[in-house]
Amino acid sequence: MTTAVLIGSPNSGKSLLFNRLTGLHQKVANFPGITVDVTEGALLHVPDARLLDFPGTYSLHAISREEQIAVDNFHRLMADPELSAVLCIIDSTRMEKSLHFALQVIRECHRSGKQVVVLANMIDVLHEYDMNLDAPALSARLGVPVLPLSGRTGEGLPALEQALGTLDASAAQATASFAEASDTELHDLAVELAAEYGMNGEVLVRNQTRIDAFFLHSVFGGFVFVAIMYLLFQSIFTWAAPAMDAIQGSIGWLADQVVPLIGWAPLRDFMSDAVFSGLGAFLVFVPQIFVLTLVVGIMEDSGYMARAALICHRPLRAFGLTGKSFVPMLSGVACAIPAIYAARSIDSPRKRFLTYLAIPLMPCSARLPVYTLLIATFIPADTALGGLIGLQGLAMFLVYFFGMAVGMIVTSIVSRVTSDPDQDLPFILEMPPYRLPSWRPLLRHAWNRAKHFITKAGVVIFWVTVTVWFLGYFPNYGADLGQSYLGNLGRLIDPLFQPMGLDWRYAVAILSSFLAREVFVGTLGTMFGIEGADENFVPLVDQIRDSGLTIGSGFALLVFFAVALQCVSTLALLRTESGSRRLPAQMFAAYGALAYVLALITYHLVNALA
Amino acid sequence: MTTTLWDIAEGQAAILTGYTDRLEQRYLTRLTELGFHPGERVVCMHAPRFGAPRVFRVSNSVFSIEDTIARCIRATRIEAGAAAPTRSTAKSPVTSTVDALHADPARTAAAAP
Repeated sequence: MTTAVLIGSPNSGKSLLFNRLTGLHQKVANFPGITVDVTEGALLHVPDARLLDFPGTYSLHAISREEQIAVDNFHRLMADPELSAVLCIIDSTRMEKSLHFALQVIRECHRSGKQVVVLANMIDVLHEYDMNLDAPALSARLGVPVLPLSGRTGEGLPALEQALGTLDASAAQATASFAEASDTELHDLAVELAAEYGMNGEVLVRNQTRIDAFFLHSVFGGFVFVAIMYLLFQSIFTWAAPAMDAIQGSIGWLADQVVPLIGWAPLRDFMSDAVFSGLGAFLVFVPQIFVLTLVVGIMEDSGYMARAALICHRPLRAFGLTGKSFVPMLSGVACAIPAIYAARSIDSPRKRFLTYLAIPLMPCSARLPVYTLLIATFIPADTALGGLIGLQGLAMFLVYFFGMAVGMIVTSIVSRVTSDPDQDLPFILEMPPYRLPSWRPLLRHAWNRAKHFITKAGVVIFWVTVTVWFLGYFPNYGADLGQSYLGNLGRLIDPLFQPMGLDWRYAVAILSSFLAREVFVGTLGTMFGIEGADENFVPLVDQIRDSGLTIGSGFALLVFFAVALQCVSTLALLRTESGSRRLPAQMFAAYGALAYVLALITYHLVNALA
Repeated sequence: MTTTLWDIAEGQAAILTGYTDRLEQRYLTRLTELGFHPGERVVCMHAPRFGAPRVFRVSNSVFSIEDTIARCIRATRIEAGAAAPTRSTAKSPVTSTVDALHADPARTAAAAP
């Protein structure tokens, strides 16, 4: 088995080339500590050979702990006797930056006795400008093979595949010229070779500058940014909706076919309420993850994402965040699940952590039914300023804004009171040239992301669903939720909620909303003896009013739901994405405590004012 | 006149002259690897308002850099009309490193696996 690793700097076209060579049939390889995927695929036209795609990096000199993990893994790989060769990809149009990294890689290969091939990508762009690369001469200077190719057009790939077919892990490099070279020597050499073999970039940068003049314009750039973000938001809410409905419909249909065939009632209820509902609870997120990954991928591939990050950076920096935090946070207004995935694009581990803190406080769509119920119960449907402002609409806006404000305050405080320079990176962002996205790799990437969610987070979500079902079903076999283990648990924690005027029924509804926030409405309906409350609020609104719940308690619930992190899907994904069990546990406890304190203050404040 | 990269106006070119002491060594290394090394010509491509990161071209690459970093990079403006230094296509003053490396048999032998 021949094993080669593909390595290169970001924006060098590495992923596109990898997809071409492996025909998109890849899986995520297991590398400890790396939060971004290392993919592995079998080479299409080279029998018995596999290719590893290492994360894009600018240097083998790490400047953060996370980069250090990636570099350590690279060194570990270099010591692997199974590794036959290193394919170092460079961008032919941006030689200096690429060669600096390539020389570092060549040095490491010479030290480890590994074969290295330099792949001069984007040769098609050079041809567009009637330019060419003197690959034989560059190869002679570097002392390693240099293959000009294009991941986009496929030019030069047969030569690469032929070279890969003849690789042998036992054949060490004959030359070892760079093994002892210092960093300064490599740097000087990169500058020199780039001057000698690199293209004149005036024409290349001219087009980019023209387009940037529009996208980064103080006025037009802002409008375009708002329009693109609106489209992104729409994509999560609207474009994913038909697929979400289809998934829910299909699971419902399947449940209708299977459940009646089961004779034993507890098993029937288990299949209906735990298995099918549990499946539906996490599969419904898949279309959103797919669509958002696709849209974010288009933004990244086209080069716009870097511009959007630039536009947002200054205001978000005041809250300890980065411009790259904006897209994940905006996505969080629709749903935290795809938003957490979108945070992968943040290269600074510390900024990514702070973004993780902010995302669950964005007012996601699952909170909407809860807000709607409580606002309909406590805020009159009156208008002010001659009908211009509806009070219920104003309340909805305020509670949405409240969640975002708390998110910003939290990141602001955490970024100031904690410090971890080893995990932080400054805002030095490459502005890649504008390109048309390549659809097939984008679609494949979106699919892989959705699959990752199902296989990694789905298992946790499913088992929590089953546990909550068990607590709600036994010991009276679903006859009365109030008398179930869950009901008893609600009574047990009732003293916690009594200080804000909420009885045990609300405690049970809050416990059940851990599965998904919107479950609160249906459960509360059940507690009040109303079926289908999640479809029609009105009878439940009347019941809550008649029960004598005060406006202070209603507002306290609103505040509690705006802050508390009672969403098992979010917690499960945070665990897989952060690689830490502690982070979701700490966030759950901290946001629970914060929500409780803020709700208590709200209760007393509103009751005093009312 | 020596100033910092942050003070270079949109459309203006400058030659990088060094870094201030406030710049951490690891960032200095990364900036050098990206092409921001003394003697390199840099052009400010865009300077968006409200303190947003500015866009600089170095070699054939374009980067946006925030003020905290850009203020740590020293530069000398190239005045309009002045002949802008261009990168020489001849071998750099540093002895042609690759030739020197290839020509050093001791190194080659020492590093052979």
